[in-house]
Amino acid sequence: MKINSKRIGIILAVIFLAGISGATIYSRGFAERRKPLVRIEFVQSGTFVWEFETQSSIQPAADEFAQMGYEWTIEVFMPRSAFEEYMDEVPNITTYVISENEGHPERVEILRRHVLENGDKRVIFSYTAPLRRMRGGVAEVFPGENVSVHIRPTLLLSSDNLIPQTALHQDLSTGQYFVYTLSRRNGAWGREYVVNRHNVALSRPNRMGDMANLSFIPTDEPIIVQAEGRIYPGALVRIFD
Amino acid sequence: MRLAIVVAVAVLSLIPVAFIISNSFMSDGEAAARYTSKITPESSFGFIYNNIHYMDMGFVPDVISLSAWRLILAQDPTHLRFLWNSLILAIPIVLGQLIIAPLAAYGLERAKSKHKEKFFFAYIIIMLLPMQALLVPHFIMAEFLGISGNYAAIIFPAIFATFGVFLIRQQMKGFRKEIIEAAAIDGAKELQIFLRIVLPNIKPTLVALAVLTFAEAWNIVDQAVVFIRDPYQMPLSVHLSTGLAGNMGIVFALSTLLMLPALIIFIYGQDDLSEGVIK
Repeated sequence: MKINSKRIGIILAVIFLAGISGATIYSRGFAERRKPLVRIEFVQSGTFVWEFETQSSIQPAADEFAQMGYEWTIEVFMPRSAFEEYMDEVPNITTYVISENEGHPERVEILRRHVLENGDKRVIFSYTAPLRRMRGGVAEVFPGENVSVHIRPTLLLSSDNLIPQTALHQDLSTGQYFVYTLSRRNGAWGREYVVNRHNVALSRPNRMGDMANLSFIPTDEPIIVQAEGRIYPGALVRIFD
Repeated sequence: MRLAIVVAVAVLSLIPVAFIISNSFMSDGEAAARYTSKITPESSFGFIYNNIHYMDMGFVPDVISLSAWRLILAQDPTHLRFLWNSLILAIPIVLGQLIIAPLAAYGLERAKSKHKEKFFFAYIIIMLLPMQALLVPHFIMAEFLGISGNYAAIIFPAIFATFGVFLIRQQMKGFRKEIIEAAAIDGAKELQIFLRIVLPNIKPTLVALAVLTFAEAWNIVDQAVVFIRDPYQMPLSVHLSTGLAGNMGIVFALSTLLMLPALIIFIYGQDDLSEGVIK
């Protein structure tokens, strides 16, 4: 029996095309499913605010004070490198505090502003926290009694720029803080999202102190605030809808 | 004796193919261990010299593994993108050649001009020029047309390649003119003569041209390197040489995949190839 090579060729071509079409669809789905899901937030270029804790022991002097609240100051250290592009804007920065229990930002008064010898800035803010916002039994506060006050405010340079603490990572070997950002590039099958790392000049404040180091992220890329799965620089990810 | 020589030549020709196919079933570790160049210092008779060990060829994998195939077909879609790129390049070139070459050959054959042989001679001269010599003019032309950087810069020169015209015109020279004249007397127009009388009669040559053009377009390297800028738009033939350094298991699997379409086209056109070219 003579084999019809044309018919065999056509059948093989159809099988080949169907095979690589199916493989392409399947492998694209497979690769897509393996990418970690990430949640991103867009922030104003150059700003980064870190949530921090302060815990102080105060001694209310009088009934009035117990009713008024606890006034404290916070000293924010701003590295020059972070502020070089924003030097002129610093006096106009609006700073807010969100206390732990109340989500409404309140404007904070800037008490003093220093420019250090090396060009760094130190800004001292003042904030009066109403007692009702303090953790602990407010009702038990009496004049003359030592009270441990636990305030967990989040400092904001702008109400649009609140970044969850989950966005912040620390390199355990060097202690360097960093955030992961997301960039877009053209991949083999179109647009794909790649994780980048940006170091943040930030040090964890003393839990008993009131100083936080604030840094600026030198990028316009959205910040990854949450990831389902392990992410690393260069990893391809999906974005939560 | 003659059969023995034929078998020997066939076996020799098939050794690289068998080597590629069998090696595509190697595990990643074995492929890396065998085909990674190593420079091993060794001491012998009190001297130290470098024993340059390039590779350890093997026809039969120690352990048969589908890891390379699984990766390219099911896990990493990047490699298949290059296969599709090759198809996107090759198919328009073949179709374009099948349209342009018979028309040009028919025109040259039927033209009444006394200079037509000079034109044909020019065609042959261009056909004999190395492709690399034409790359610079093609590049300048592509820049002028604004198509440099995309597939059109490769497809258009390939569609108008001279080999197809040469091949078909040689076939048309043997075509009996009386048939064309009879059709013309019956009132057929030039296009009708071409489509209904000439084309059906040169079908084996067209199939042969399709096979040969596909083989050339499928293995395209130089033009892609010159014209294509996006690395993800490169054809598989370029990706094999540039994008897979050190990953030999995938190289073998992709090489096998690269062979398949050309093999299928050959199976389809094997009868016509001998009839259309040799006869």
